[in-house]
Amino acid sequence: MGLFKKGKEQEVVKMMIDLLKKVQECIEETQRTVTHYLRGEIEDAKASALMTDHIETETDHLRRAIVDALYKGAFLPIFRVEIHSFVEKMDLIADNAEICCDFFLGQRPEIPEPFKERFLKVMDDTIPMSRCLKEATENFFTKGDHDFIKKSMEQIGVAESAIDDDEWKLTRDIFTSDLPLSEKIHLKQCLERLTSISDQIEDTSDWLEVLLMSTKV
Amino acid sequence: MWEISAGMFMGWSLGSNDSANIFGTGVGAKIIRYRTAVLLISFFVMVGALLEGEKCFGTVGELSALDHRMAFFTMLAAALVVSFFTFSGIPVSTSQAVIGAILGAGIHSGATVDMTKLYKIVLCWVLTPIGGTCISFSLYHLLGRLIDRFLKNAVLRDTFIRWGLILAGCFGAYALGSNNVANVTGVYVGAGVLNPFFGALIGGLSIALGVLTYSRKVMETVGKKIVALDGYSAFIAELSAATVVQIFTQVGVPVSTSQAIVGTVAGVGMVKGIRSVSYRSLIEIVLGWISTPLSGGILCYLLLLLFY
Repeated sequence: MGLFKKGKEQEVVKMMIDLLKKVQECIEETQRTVTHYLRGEIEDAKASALMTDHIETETDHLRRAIVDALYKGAFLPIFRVEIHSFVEKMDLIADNAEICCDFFLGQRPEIPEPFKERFLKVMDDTIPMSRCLKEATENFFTKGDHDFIKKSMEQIGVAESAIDDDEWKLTRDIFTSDLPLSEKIHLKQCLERLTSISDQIEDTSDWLEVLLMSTKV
Repeated sequence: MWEISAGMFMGWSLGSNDSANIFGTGVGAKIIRYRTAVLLISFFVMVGALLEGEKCFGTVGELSALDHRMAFFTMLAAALVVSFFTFSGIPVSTSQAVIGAILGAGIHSGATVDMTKLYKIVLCWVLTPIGGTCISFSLYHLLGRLIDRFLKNAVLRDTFIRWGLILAGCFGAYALGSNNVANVTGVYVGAGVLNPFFGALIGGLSIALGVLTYSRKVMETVGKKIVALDGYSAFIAELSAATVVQIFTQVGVPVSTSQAIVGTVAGVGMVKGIRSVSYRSLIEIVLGWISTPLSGGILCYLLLLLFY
């Protein structure tokens, strides 16, 4: 007679950590896609985008498996709902990364040479953010070092503000350039696709704070 | 021995209704399977009844002198009142119905009622939700500090609260058995139909039978209502309710487990600065102190007038 279904929470935590790893891989693959694209290596960019698409599919499978395990009784009910929202938000990071790759390879935006490095910088600055989120989430479910988690969330907030600042300046420079309006709008859309990943990481980090608060008595 | 049939009916009804106060939260939240929950409740109700059930027999059995047939009509009246109120969806306390019916029988026979015992009983009824509120309020702070300090890992914390809910449920079942078995067979022990051991055994078995055969619907309904509380609050509410009922077992007075849990949920709400219990629930409790014993008393008086 089992009082609890065996180790359901541990199973969910393991899948959450796997999901975080996949999200991290997805963002890194997106960075490779953007880098290849900006260097004009379209075939390599396509291969990386395809890999991003595969990883995103894996994150979808993991998300479904986690939700399934949650509603079969892992964790207490209120906490269960909050973890579910958190998992959905994590999955959205991978979704945004995939959409970003689709944008570059489907719409092939013309990025002028002076802007290329700045577009790449946005993507490069996103990587440490996702690493920070992964470490904070892992810590939350395994060690519960609240100080470390809070510090990681602060770092994510600071990094996102820096990316917002870069986005604002880049938008200004795009629209004050001599490019045709249609190209300006296209570049702005492209930039928004890139920053949507960091926005989503910050949103997920905010939800981790909700989880942290909900575990306090 | 046929006289105990009314008491067994009361026990069955009590078991089917009050088990929801114990594991409704756990079953509603899928923390524990329904089948496991009813087996645990039945076992601990029996243990509580056999080990400490005798403590409340004195209060119920000696409130008024009844003969065998009067004991039957007393329990029949109490059981009918409980069934009618339950069927109408009005929360009811078996303890209050039984005490009311005993008073009705006492008035009919002209026997003297031990007023000291009666005052003690009424005082305990009033103190049940109030005591529940105080205990849950204090326990929430005390245990909360320890948990925040020593259980920072989310998984460990969740596991602690899950096990806490299960253990508090077992304690609640034990307290239900030790305290409420007197409602089922206390009258028969007082009338000399049963000795205390068989009183505890038959009472415990009747409650356990109600838990095993007819508790699912009430448990699922109540469970969904209480699940709105977070896990820690539900644990504190359950543990405090079991503690307060067990305290009254030591005093020797059967009290309402439902009113105890309303009090403990209110205490948890006070900590959080929210109104977790509606005014309606509070009014129902106060009205119950009057209407339930009054209904039991009037019905018992009428039954004895017609059939005794």
